[in-house]
Amino acid sequence: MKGLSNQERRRFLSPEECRDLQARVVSMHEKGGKSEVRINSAWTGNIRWARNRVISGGDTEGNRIQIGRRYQLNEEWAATNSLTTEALSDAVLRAETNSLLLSVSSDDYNDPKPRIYPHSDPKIWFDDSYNLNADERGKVAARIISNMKGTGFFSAGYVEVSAIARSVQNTDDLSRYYPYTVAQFSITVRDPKSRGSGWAGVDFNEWSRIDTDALSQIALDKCIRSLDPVAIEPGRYTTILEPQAMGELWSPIMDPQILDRWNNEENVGPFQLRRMNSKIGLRVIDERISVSADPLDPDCSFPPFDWNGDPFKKVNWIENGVLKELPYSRRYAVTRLGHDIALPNSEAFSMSGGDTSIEEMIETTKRGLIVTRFHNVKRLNPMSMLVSGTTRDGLWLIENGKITKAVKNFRFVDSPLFVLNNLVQVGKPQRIFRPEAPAVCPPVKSNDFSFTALIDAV
Amino acid sequence: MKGSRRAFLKTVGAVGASAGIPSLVHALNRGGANPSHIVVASSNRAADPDFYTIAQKAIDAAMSAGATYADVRYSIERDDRVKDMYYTVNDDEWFGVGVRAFVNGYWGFVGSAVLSADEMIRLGRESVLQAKANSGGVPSDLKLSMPPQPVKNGEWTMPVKYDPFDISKGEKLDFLRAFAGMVYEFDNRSFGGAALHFKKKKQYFMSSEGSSFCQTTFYSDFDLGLSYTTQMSIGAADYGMHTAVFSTPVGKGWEYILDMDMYNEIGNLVEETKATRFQIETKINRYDAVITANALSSILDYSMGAATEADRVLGYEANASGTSYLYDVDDALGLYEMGNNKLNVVADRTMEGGLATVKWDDEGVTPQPFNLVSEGKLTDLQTNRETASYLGNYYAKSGREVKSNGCAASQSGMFITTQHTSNIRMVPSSEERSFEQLLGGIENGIAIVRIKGLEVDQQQLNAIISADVREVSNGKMGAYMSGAALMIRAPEFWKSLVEIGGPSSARQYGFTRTRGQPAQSYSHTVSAVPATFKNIGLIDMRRR
Repeated sequence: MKGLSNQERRRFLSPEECRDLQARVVSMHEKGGKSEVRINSAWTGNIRWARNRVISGGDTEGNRIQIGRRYQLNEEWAATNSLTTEALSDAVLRAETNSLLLSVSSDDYNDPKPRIYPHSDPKIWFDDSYNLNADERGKVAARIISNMKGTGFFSAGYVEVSAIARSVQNTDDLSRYYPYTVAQFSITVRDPKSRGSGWAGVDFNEWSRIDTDALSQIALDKCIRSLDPVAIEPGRYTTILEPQAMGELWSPIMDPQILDRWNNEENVGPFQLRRMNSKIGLRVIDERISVSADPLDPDCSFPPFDWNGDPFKKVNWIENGVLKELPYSRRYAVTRLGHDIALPNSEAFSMSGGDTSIEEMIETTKRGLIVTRFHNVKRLNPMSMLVSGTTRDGLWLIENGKITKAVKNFRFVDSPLFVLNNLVQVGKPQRIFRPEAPAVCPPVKSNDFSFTALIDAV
Repeated sequence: MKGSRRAFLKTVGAVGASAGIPSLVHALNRGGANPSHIVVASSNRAADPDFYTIAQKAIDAAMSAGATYADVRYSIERDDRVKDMYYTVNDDEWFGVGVRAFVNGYWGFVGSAVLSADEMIRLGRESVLQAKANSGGVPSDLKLSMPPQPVKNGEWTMPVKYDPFDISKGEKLDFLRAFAGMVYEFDNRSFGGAALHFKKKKQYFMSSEGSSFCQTTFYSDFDLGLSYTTQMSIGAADYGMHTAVFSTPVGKGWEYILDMDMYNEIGNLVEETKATRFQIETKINRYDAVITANALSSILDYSMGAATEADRVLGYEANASGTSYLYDVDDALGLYEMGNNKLNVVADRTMEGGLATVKWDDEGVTPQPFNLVSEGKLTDLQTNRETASYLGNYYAKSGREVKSNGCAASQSGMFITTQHTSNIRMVPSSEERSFEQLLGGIENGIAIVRIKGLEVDQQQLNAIISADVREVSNGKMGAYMSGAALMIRAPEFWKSLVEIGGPSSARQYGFTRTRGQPAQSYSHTVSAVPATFKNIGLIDMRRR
């Protein structure tokens, strides 16, 4: 397999081992029926520092093995992380017991033998991530720490690299295995007396795309520029959201409960037009913005199938402001659309942008704020998508085209949909820090962003 | 109200005995694939006497490679969730072994799911290599505080009457189904959802300082929600559904479910949910407020529980789950006014029914209850052996020895030992005072009954709390306010404390907090009492 030398001790399961595991599980069936095995096999290496000293670091290897057993219509699951026959047969028995115990639900969808569709082949394995061993991680941390020591500030940072195999196999002949790497880096630089704080971070499949020195410099710079903030009145401000802030604001939309065709038609959601009708085909945000996801996008790539084994393809959720698609399950496709191909939601997204630089956005602002990122963005309402959270790690006031002072943090209540409808300017998209699913986002300037209360936390 | 508690018990019995459920259930319960049998087998699977023998190999490997301290943990976790409405279940088993080595003031860690002698030797050696790499060639003067008294082959099990994993899945499902029936008996319009959730963790520990022990802890939760569509549905925070939730996990066994006064709880919940159907607009103002033990436990949890974790105060969590409004150990300890002089808070990992209750922590330290806040002043922090060493100046001033308060913990053997929140107890007033008595003292104000959502900033300082808030006039609770929320700043909030409930008004609530990098979770219990506060600001959450 890609880039792995044969001599080295394996740190996660190979395709053969996954297939073998599936065969072992099938051999444990005494009662027939169907089964599925989902394996997340991962090696993770990390290093963590705070107060300019490494506080922990290590390597972990582990598997998550989910075993599904199905008799008639009812499927139930049990999970373990052990490969021993004892643990696996226990898990099989638990899944079987559960599937027998639970009554069959009448509306359960049963497909005799689903067709299997091919998936794409994104380049998401990178040897440099896999090879970032403890020594290499130690060097990264040591270099950043020694740069920070002279500044009088505390840095706290984290490097994590993983090699993961995602495997889905079942008795309906589905057999999928895909290995990939991920790498993340984040750093917070704080004043020891909590007078200011700065942050920067990013994640990629490829470690060498992460410029740790540049990000550390950004965090330090933000910390220095955010020292001793002053209080200003909460209210509505013309606001520049840096890519990280825009991404954190948009992320609640990508929630599988929210971005879901069935929910928006039958239940409740931001893209419901009226009962039974979604807003597909209608403009939902500013026409300068498109939102897509593509496992083959080199700047925002991800594994090519989900845990059901359904392939991810390039999809434009929103094109020039118009809602084009909402994700749906295979069951929805069969019952409503007359085909059998699911449109799964990878939760990854790439938001298109424009040419305006953040500097230009500042220069053209009479009075406004610029936000580094948000903390704890939570959804208040699934229809308007009002969300609330606080700003952190750098918030500045802009007056007459210039950043004039650091200001104390605010709580905000606003909706990503309102923000992208009140859009003034949009800049060049870039990869943000979002280890749960990759995202590319532009900086935006929007009118009337609603800051509701002063928060004096730093 | 129709029916009675007796009727409920009868219903449970009847369902268990015959009608309404597939006969399969009984076949399973009687023998063959008895789920409880499976569980017993798996949780006893770890070869008990063997563990210390092979763990010693990891310790030896680490020490001979240059460690000054090393420990090994091996955990076996069971996680079982049964959910009503859709009758879905989770049924997981996790193993984890982790070796931690301390070399020249740096930690190294290696985690695995494989337990074997060879793997132990590998983990022991690699943990030292990790620690050496983590030093980056720069020595550290970090010292671990006082080693604990070693315990040899110790064994402790959280006192439970019935291991929830000895109760068959069939019985758990029967319980939920009978329970759903009972809710319908009360009111068939309320939409009831219920779930049972149990966890069991058995963990072995061995250290180079001669400690070896095994502990078993439990987590039992019964979650019940009733909802109504409220009158004011447009724009309401929870899209027009009002949900009353009765749920708190505890460190007990199946007896927690059996001993619950379910019948009265449902009656109260149905009444409460009905009362929420007709809500008035939130009247934005500052009020005298009475807060239930339930609601206050959530505020205690972050403002006292999270904020007094030494590693947060020191900035260890700055790039992860956040820091604390206490940011300087020496400036804060013994000086910082956490609240007024009525406030006393204790951290207690010996609390009966506490989720963080253990006999030994994950560094072998025996935790003792200790005062975090005495008469409003911060007097100590939650520490482990590493973070306690930062408190040396303060301890020296007060003539105390520098030692860990026993707050070391980890999600499992797969995660490095770190600090997690201890059980937290707000000390009740010495005289008996119930919620109703406190309510009676409020002439014109509000009652904060239940917290629906709580968001706090990265310093545990400012929170916005959406809550079930009722008007209070002349000591009586009135209508619910739609979209009501509190905005509080921790020290000011606790300085506006007026009266505290008595010992028998104390209630326990379970919380789970995720922290660290890689992120790991651990549960703890907060024991709270109802209390009254003055000058509490109320806002309307629905306004943008």
